[in-house]
Amino acid sequence: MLVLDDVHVHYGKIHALKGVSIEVREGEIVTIIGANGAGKSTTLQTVSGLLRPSSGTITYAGQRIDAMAPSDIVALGLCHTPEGRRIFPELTVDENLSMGAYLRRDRAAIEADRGRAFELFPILAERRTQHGGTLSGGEQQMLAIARSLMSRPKLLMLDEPSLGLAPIIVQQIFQTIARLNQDEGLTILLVEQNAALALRTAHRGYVYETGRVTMEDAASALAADEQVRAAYLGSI
Amino acid sequence: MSSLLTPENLVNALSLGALYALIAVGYTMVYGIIKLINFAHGEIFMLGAFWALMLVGAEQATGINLFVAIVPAMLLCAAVGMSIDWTAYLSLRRRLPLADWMSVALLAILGLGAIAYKLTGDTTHTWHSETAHGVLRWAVIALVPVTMLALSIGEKGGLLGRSLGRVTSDRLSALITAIGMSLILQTLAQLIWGADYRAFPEDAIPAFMNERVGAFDVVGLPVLGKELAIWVTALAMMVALNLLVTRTKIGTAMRACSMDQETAALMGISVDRVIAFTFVVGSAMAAVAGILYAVKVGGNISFRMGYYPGLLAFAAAVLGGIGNVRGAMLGGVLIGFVQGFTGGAFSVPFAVMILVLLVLPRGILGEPQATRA
Repeated sequence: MLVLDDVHVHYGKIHALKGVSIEVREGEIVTIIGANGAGKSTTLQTVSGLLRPSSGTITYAGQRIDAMAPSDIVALGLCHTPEGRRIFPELTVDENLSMGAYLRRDRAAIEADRGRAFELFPILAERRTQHGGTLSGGEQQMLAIARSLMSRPKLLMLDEPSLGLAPIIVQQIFQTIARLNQDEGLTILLVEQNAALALRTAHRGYVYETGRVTMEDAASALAADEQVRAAYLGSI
Repeated sequence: MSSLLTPENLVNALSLGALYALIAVGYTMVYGIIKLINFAHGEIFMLGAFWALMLVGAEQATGINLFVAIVPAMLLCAAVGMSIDWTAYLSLRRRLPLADWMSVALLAILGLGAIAYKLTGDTTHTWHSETAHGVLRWAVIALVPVTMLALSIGEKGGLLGRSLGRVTSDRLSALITAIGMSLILQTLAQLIWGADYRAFPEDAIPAFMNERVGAFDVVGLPVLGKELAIWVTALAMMVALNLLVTRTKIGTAMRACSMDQETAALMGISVDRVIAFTFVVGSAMAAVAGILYAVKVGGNISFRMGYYPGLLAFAAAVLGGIGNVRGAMLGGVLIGFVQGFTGGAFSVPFAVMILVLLVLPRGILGEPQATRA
């Protein structure tokens, strides 16, 4: 569904991605784990068109997307929920959701999806008219995911959804992620610091080290790997 | 001071306030999104008046009705506002290699053209030639819009090369570019229409505009028809703008872009298109202000006319809290009042702005930087 082939990205003189090749197949949850600064977020930003690869190709559903504008990439059904949630602080919860559906014209279906978002995260329904900036971190993460779902993505890219959240909220969010994948067949590319949690949720995983993919395997195999355990799972 | 608190001054203050508010919202909306003071905004105000003058008829009312002329003048100004963004500011936001070279070429040709224009116009110089002088004048006049159009089409059509990722110019170069754009448009207007002060022909202005409105005599206010027209128009446009920004999808997208452009792009919002739309709306409002201003003061249409109202409206936008649309409306009215009640002084409004900013550094309605939880 999504294929990155030998993608290089430069930030000025910094060589952030040094030939990354990864693949996400339809219906999968794929996770990218690795240390800070390994290029995980850079990968997502490059796929969604915020950054341009200096070489290599990105193909989505058989179509080259590496030169496309972010808005055209969203239109293809590929939505990126950025790190740090990035809720529009002075828009209400409702307006934030409407922005997620910006490219859609089917008013009735949008309202139906809004209802579904409130079913998924009932707390958001209570906060409908509140400004996004007044929500708690967990509520903002739920809103960020709900907002992305409003674009009806076929592939959802989540960047650090557990960042800075209480364990109970993290659990709830990861349950929702797994449910979206199982019940609705949503394909998910997940970047996550919490490697243990990510590998429990995902089917397959890639391990990044300083801009390169160093390992790729089934999530359960990675979770059992000695090296991965030592480096990312905090146990020997 | 008490002699300044006259009914005449109150009426004048209200009208000035309404006009400054109409201009100030353009400054503030553009600043809200691209954090740039668009100093060329005052020139849009000037162009609005000139285009209405051309459409109505320069000497006599031979053209279309003044009220009808407002619409095409708004559209023309909206187009200029948008092409200012596309030619001058967009290439600073997204570095496009070919656009840089085209801009350098344009400036070089403009500079050489200006020198040649000066030489051919100088009767004591051997290069003096009336024909060459005339040809050069029109060549320079044509060059700017043609290049702007070419750059706009080139950028929109992706003909100028691929944007090199997230490259943004620093804010100082954008600011200097804005000042340069303002001077280019002023010079262009002077080349086209000359340096004289013009006025709408008398027969173009409906009689009621210069008659007292009876209803206001009851409360002792000497209100002319044109003052009332300014108040009603400004109020209607402010209400419409407020609805646009708070109730519509594009208005919500404008606010979203002013908070976080990158995330807006991830929602599928075409940020450049939203920015262009912002220029369109602000420019159309400035065009109306320019026309009403020329009607109010009974003339003063010249290539310089955008300078002071533009600067005062900029002060109004800062006073109200730059980036805040309602703040700009409030600031415009306040600046208009200060100027109206001080007999049209230009210095006092700025002094008031400085004093207010000492107490409220973000302006009256300016909010502290939004925080993320």
